[in-house]
Amino acid sequence: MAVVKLQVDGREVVVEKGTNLIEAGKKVGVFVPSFCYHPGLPVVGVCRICLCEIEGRPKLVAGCATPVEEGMKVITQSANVREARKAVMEFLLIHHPLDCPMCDKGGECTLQDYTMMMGPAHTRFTFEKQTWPEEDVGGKLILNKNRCILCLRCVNLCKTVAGQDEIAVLSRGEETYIGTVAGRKIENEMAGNIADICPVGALTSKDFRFRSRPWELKPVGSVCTLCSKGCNTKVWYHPRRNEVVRITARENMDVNQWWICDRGRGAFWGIHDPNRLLQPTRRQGDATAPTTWGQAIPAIAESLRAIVERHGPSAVGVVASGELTNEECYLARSIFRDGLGLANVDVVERPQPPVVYPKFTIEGDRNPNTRGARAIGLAPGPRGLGVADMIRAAAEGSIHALVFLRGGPLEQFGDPQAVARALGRLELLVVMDPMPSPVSGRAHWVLPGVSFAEREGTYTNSQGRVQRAPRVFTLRGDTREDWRILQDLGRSLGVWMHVDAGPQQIFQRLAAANPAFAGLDYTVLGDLGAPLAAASADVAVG
Amino acid sequence: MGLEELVPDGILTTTVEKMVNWARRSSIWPATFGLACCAIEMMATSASRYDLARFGAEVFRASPRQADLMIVAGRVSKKMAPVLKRIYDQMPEPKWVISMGACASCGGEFKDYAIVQGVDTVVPVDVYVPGCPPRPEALIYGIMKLQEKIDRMSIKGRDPAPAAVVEMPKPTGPTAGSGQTTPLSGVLPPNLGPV
Amino acid sequence: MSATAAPEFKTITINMGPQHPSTHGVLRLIIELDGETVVSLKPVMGYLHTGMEKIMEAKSYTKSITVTDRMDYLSPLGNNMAYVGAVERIMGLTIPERAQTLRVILLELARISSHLVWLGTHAIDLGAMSMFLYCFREREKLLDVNDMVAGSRMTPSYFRVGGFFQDVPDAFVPHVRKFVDEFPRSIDEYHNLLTKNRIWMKRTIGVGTITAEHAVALSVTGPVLRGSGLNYDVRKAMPYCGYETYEFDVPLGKNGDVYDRYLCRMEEMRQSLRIVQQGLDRLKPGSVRADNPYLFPARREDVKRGMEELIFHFKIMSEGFRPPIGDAYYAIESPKGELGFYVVSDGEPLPYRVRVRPPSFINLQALETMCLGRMVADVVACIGTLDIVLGEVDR
Repeated sequence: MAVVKLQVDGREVVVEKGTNLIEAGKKVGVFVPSFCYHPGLPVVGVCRICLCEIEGRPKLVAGCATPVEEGMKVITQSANVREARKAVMEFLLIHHPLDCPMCDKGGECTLQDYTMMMGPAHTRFTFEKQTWPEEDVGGKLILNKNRCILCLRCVNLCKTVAGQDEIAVLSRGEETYIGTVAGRKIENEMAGNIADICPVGALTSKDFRFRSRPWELKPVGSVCTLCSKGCNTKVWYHPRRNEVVRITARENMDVNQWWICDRGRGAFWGIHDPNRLLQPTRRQGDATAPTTWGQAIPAIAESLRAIVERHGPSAVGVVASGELTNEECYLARSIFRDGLGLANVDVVERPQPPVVYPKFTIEGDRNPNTRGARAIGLAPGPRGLGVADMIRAAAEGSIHALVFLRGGPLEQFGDPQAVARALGRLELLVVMDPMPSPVSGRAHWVLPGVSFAEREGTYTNSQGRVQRAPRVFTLRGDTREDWRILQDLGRSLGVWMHVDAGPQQIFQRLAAANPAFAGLDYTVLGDLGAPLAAASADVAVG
Repeated sequence: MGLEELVPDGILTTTVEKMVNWARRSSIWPATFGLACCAIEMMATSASRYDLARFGAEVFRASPRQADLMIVAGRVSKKMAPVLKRIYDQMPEPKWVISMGACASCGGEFKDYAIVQGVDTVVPVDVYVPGCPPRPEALIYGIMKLQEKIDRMSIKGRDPAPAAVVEMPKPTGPTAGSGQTTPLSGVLPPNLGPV
Repeated sequence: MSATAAPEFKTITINMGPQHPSTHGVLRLIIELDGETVVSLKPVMGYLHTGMEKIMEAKSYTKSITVTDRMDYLSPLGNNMAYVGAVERIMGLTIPERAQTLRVILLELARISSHLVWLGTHAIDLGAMSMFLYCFREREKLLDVNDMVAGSRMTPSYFRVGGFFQDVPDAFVPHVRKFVDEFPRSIDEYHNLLTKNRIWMKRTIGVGTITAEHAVALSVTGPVLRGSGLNYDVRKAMPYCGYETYEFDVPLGKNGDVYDRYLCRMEEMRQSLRIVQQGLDRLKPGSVRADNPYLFPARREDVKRGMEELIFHFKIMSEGFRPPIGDAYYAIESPKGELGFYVVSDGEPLPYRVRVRPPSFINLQALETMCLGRMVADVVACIGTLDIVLGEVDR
């Protein structure tokens, strides 16, 4: 690739041909402001805040739209540039409404930050400002036209990433505004990204409206667990209220570039669902009563052992899930397949119709870790049954116990009537899940796990990339992390005798035992993940 | 009425409990336990302008064995907490504790490694006086509230009857919360979902 | 009893504090005594350690001012000044004249306020109980000044980087003038009670002596140093806030004992009045805010009408201002000695590091020297003469 050598503020930099001045500046730590420019969107050059001076040229150029040239000398700190930036800021602020106290963007607003950095401190505008009413434009967005600075990022994103014209630039000249046409609404699932990239509070998310100020929140880098794409996210946590208030995109050029879909954005509502299971329960006959971990785990272990002894290992089945982390899959594999010798272990398929946009695809598998589960060996052993066959065997009476490592609607496991009948016949039904479901409603023992944000773990996406999802917080309640539940159960069964401090150590064991994960550990995974070892990827051991 | 009509003038009847409580609340002698800035305001309260002695706190006793009240005035560091407990233990019953200031009540401005976040984690507190530092008037109000509490004491046990309990109204309206927060107590799973 | 062996002689080690009426806070002393004579004396500090310097790293520059109040809580405005001065030095700000004059007036009133507490507690420790009540009576008038300008008697946090947020109210000047007129009589009253009092003289003359060389070796500053005859006052040596334009004397002692230090501080109160008088005379109307839009928001009417002003108000209140990258040390003559703040800025709205030069902590190291070889009763006199504030010692 051809390279160009130039100077930015006196610092030498070498970049690829075709790079613009903003990116060239980034490489040597020179900051060039921008509203309309975004590395993931085509250049528009409308905001004019990125104006830079080039030695030898009388007029300032737009940094986003100017490609580098050999020997160019870019100056960003001259009096001309300062005046120009100040003037651009003044013009942008002319029609901007005095909404800061009630605007969601306050505290993370590019307009505010740039005004402090390079804008005037006093206004010269003495006329009336525009007063458009706010509108709901669909896509869980609210449009406030008064705050819009016409950077066109929203239109650009909708068109480029989602391939839609739902939001557009209307009218022209002084009357230009952003809006939808003829009362239509934005219906694509990339709309949430617009709230992320809008530099002001013109397009804001309904989910986040008036919920919090950004400085009260702690952003934690995590991954989305709603499909096998494994987009990198930022989970925003409010320490004082102990809740997650929003999820936004995190940049990872190898997975999701700069975007996430609206499903992952809304995942935080699930964490705080009021129906969540918060206590282990036990059902005897028709009566369900709360119980303790100290009673549940040993009782389940004893029941499982008794059934295996009486009817053999083929009388027990484990319905695992691709929602579990790699560490939990490894525990499940070690405890159930290797430890207890059960062959009926399988992962539930949860397909969905994929959604393909020009620059983004929502994948067809609702599990975040199917690939990881298969690579670790959560599949039927020799003469073992898959999920559908396990249900049939349970209905026939040859399977006496089923352990569901995640519940769900009955349709997920087969014909709902048959599944209901099968579950009703079981001698022992154990469900580990943070959310209640028809399966957990019929269970003898319900063990409340936790959501993705409350436990540390790694997920392997469909591309074979292993990524970390840290523990963001702990909801109050008598729940336990799923890996801890499995570990305690394994210890009670006498088949997992390690005392591990946490998922990091479990992952080390997993990497040592599984060639697909060779060479990986949490340090290697870092913030952006790492791919599985290419050679023996996906070949389940044993 | 009754007995008082039969006895000569100048004799009042009352209960032993009321007498004992009256004596106790009228002569509360604090122990010197000034730690930081609140101590100076405590000194100001006992000085010329505000004169705590009018309320019975005639002297501040240096020895806890001779004191009734410990006014924890100032921030309690984790190094000082065992000393605080020891001084409290040395006080004879009946004894009371006033937590003076924000630091003693909840850690105040200092939420960090060194400060105990509320002296009630170390000793039982009877009255909390907020402020940073509380004005002398506020401390006097706190002591008056303590006196009212002592009036309600029983000579049998330690704990006085509670004052009137005010029921806080449940918040409604747009700022009442998103309704999406998780309940704190355990929730039983719904019984048998749809087939 | 055998005639050959003399009885084994042992010293007693006693513990004084941390809860003790005379330790002026939570100071613990481990004193080794030979009868009544002090053989060794080791202060144990840390009973009030709050981690203030660390807390200041988590609060914006403006919010950190409130933390400084709680250090030397007898003259809180002094701490405010030293901290704010350091940040102003990093930023290279010019403070308007009215603000400078008001600062000098308030700093000297703070000095008087602190010396009154010193005198009251020192005297009550040595048995003169009425002094405590008299001193606190005068101090109430100064606390009223704090209340008037800042709303809080003891933790005003009135100073800001760049001057003050609001000017003093109209009642300020008459109130202070009244105080300046009345206070000399009070100082005379205190002199009448103590200076020629035989008991006072017996308990303070020749007690707690420290030589000038030893004081310098221990880095002692303030009246403790000047009581031994050394003329070092930060207001004269490294003037700030325009102190070089005021006329005042720095009282010095001769023998470096408790009595000389007592006389120094009494005279300092008179000199402070002199400075306050000059300050009041030269007070002219004007702005009390430095001309920097990042420090103070605009007037309320402008904030409600102007976009830029609103944005600046929002960011000033939520984030705070960002000083340039750099560091500065700023020292003032606090009533205890040289109070210095070393502030390091990394360009963020929160200070990177704040280090305090606490005069009480450094002066406390002189306690052992002063008490060695003297009676245990003199320890109380020495602690009083050092005028330590545990909030500053432990931070």
